[in-house]
Amino acid sequence: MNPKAQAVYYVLVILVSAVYLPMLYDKIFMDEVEKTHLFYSPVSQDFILMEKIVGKVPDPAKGFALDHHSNQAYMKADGTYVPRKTFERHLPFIYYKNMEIRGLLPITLNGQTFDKITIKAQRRVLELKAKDLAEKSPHVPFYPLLESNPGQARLVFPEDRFRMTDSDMEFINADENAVDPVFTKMYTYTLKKKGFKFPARSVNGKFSVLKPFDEGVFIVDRDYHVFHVKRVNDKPEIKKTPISPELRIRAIQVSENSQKKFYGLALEGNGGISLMSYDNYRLIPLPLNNFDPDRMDLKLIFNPLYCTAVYSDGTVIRAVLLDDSFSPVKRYEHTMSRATATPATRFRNLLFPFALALGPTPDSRYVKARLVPGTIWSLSGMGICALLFAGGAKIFTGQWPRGMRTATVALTGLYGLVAMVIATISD
Amino acid sequence: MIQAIFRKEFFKIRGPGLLVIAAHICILLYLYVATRRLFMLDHPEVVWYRVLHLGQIHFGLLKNIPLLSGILIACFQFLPEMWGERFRLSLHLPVPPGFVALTHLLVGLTVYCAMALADLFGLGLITGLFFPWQGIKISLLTALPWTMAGAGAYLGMALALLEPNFRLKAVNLLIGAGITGLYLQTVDPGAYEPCLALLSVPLGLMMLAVLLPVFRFRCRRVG
Repeated sequence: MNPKAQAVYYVLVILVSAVYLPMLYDKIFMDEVEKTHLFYSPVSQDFILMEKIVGKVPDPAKGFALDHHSNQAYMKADGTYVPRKTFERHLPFIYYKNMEIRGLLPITLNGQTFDKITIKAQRRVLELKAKDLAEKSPHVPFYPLLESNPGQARLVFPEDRFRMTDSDMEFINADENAVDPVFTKMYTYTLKKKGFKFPARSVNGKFSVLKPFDEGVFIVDRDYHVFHVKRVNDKPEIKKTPISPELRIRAIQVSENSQKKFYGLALEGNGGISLMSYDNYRLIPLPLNNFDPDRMDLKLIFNPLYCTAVYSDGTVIRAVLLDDSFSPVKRYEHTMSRATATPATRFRNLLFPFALALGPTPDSRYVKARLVPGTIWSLSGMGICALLFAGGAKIFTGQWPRGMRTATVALTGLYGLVAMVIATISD
Repeated sequence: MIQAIFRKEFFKIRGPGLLVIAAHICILLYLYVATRRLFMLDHPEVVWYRVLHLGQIHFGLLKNIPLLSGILIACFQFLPEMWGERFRLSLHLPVPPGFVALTHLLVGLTVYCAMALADLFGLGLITGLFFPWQGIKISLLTALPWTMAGAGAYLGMALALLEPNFRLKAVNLLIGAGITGLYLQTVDPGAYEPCLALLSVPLGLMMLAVLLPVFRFRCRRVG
């Protein structure tokens, strides 16, 4: 028998086991729990959250089991659990439709009265997810530039899309599937006239017709200057914004809103995040501690009284309450229940010395191959597998297994055990 | 010797191979008709939005075709060899058995790769008629892992068919299915791009692993 072919075969068995056995285990025993929802309550003037409890449900939370599922907890920042309806009453700006059905609107808070129309007009959510960043998602760099003055209520897609080449803003006509030289020349000329340096670093916009109006796109040039490009009456309307190139703007999450206060969120090269206002593109930095845009999702919730920034990675959720000038008023941090180690998690650590994961991750839409190491418990699992293998071989074949085989099992745990059992069968 | 094996394999699989090629051509023609129809039913800019922005895959039919082709080519090539254990004759030629086995695999993979490349070329051509080069690029990046799945399926089937022990045949089928599954995840179009090079490693390992059942077949006890 060829030892090299044998070795390759067993490496293959270990590889397949390391991909699929942990996956199978997770499908059977692990609960996929979504992130905690964290808000600031204008009623109790404190943070309040909703999450699915992993593991043992605390007795105080069980008291509300009849109201909803027993492991769905509604908890105030001081740790007290509340029923779902109370939770909703704490968040009248979020659950305003339910509040109206229950006859609780209009509501008076901080001396101001809010009805459904006021709440609806002043609510807004801006979101920036790590996996939506351009370099973390396989998007096609080919964009529509909508007509910002469509002359009708509904926005429509233009007949062309554009791409940024090394020297042009190139428009392609969809009917012809060919470059439109007129538009290409017109936009490229205007961009260059305004001081744009090719190639572009990023093109940012909300490429949808499902929005109240269109604000065009923001293009970051080679030197990190940000240009606001719009199509108005089929003519280019381009402004060089005063945003400092030293900020090295990485992405702009544009979100058109009829309040016309902010264009959206701007992500800076150093990881800082700002609101981009309609006031001559002034950037208002958000005071987020420990925010990492490559790992965390950010949600900015505006309501008639406050703005709350909520951001989280896989285990910790943080929130900061902001005043009118976007200065921090109150902060809160919570380790999400989804991070709790359950008996299933501990047994998984014991069973698998490592796992090979292939697929998109929570912070990237690209398929990534990752080696996920085990914990200290995995060492015990590896030892147990080696003992099982040696003992089993002695019992079933009457002799101790070869040292190399035992070493393989000792180093690769369950996966090695699978491979070496196959090896014993093939002997 | 390599020429003789190539000739033998060519004569063996040319008939069924031509049928598979004909099926591929029909599928590509259908793909053209289906893509053209998308543009007949909607404005081109809307189709571009759906395909290039929302990630609608207009050639989803192609996902499992390479997989089927890989399985069929392996069956056409190795089932006749295993019936009546004819492969023994090849393994007793005056050349190393590993060389014989690898040459057989090379023939199968050459035929498979020709089909896969024709698929990718056809897909590129069809997409290029209706979409700009960004559309061609994302289509090819989406379809490339599928063609790698076909190569995995071919090698997995070879691994299973050449194995003389039935229990190990089942194990080898699982290994083949496992490797093939790596390339067929439901993800965004083009999402495999960063790890395509890394994903060619399991295919290389499989090619070498096929030698094990070949050696086991040659050294098995008969009777």
